[in-house]
Amino acid sequence: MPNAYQRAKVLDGRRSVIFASAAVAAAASAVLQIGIGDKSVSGAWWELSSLVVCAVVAALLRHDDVRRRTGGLVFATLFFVVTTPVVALTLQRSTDVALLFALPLGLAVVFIDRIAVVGVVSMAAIAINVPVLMALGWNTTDLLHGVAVMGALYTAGVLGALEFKRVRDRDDEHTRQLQRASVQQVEGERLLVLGRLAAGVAHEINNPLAYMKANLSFLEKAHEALDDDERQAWAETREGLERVSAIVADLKGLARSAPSGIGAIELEDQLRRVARLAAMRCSSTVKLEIEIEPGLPACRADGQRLVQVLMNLVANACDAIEIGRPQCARVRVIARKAGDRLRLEVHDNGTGVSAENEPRLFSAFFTTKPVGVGTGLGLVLSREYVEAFGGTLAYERSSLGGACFVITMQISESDPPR
Amino acid sequence: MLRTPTILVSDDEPLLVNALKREARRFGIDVLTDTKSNVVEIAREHHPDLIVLDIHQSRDGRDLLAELKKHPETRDVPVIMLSANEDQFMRHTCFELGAADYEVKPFDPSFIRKMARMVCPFEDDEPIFAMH
Repeated sequence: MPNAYQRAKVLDGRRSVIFASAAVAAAASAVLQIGIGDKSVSGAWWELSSLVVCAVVAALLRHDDVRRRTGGLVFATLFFVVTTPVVALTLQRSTDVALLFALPLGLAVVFIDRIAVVGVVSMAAIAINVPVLMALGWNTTDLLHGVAVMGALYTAGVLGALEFKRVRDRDDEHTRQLQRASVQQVEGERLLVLGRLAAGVAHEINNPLAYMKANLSFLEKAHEALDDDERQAWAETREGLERVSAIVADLKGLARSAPSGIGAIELEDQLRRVARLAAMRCSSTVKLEIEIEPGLPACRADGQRLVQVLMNLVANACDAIEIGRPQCARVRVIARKAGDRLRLEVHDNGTGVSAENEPRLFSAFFTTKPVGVGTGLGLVLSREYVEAFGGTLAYERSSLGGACFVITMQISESDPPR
Repeated sequence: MLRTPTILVSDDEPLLVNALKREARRFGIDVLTDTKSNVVEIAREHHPDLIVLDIHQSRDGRDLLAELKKHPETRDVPVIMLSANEDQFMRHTCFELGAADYEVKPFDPSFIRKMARMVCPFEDDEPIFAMH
């Protein structure tokens, strides 16, 4: 979905066309009036100055800097609001007076997306035009008619702007819903594939694991009275099998789409799971450090979702490091108490996030990874999962030089353990 | 004459079947094996005291369980279901079909003792070495 910056740029692009057309119309009017001798060059000052102003504003509205574009629009508005009554007073031609009435409609078209500007300029125009019309000698009846017509035109302008806003908001909401449905569908398909893969892997690995454990137990019993080295070798082999079992269970848990439910979560357990899974994801050159503040209370979270989010953040950190290739690649996860909340920080010393990309980090389908590597959904979904259990997810610059993603969570006081 | 307790193990993974057979024999238990989903026919012929039945084989273990519970000769034989996945729905279904227990691979070594106790209860924790 285009953000506010992109939308404003598109609208200003269309306004640029309007002002360019107005510049052409002013040029044609000046040439015609000077050509037929109706006005001298100095007499056609308004048409010529309008031509210059419209041409300059049309060019400014193509600029990337929103402040220059806004400045151009404000300057054009002030120019026409001030000069149109002056022209009406000095020339006193009905066509110039008609401009006083046409001005609000023109402003409504130009500022269709900025209703506050339409309202303010309309009020200012009435405040200026009424004394101008009185100075032109309009009697009370004509004045009242004039104010009624201006009021009707200005109201039409404001209503038009309101309707534009309503339609645009409805379209934005519709687009957001479509995008959300699309995100969920893509994520659902991904998890379905992962789930099937995980189930298949689990079956293929758990079978040999089962008879390896059974045979290990058999051999241990059959060859008792071992020395210390042999006992240690048996123990380490058994530990290795337990680790493989835990990793398979972790993988299955990661692929499962259903959340485990919100409750009291001990962060140390979840971070140990993340460390096991991250060891598979991060290359051997990446140093993964986990720091847990002693005596940390339980947090209120969905353990399954929290592990998924942390794995996503750690995976992104590893990707950033693979691109940046720092001398000593580090990913650091810090868990600590911050006021009345718990704070989880995932730091890396990779490439970080540029100022240009920072506002779009949590936008759906935004990714800086090559095609086929990133879906642009990881951070969107991570934030959604975290917010679902009352947490927040935000980005900061890391003290390590790369990116830092911060999850804050409520401390669990009365939730059941999960 | 005391009849040697018998367990029928049905799993399409022959190495797992061998491992269970080896372990069970330490407790003096005879083991019949099935790696081709013929558990119903073997059970009807040999009347084992316990059946250990894997869910994921050439025929779905749940279908085999339902069939075992249909025949009068095998209806009352306790069946322990084995699965490589911890699936609550599958667990519930197996118990609904009449399974005595549900074990997830890789199972804990205490599973072997549990299996043995179901057919030949023993006092201490030491294995009873097979006479044959």
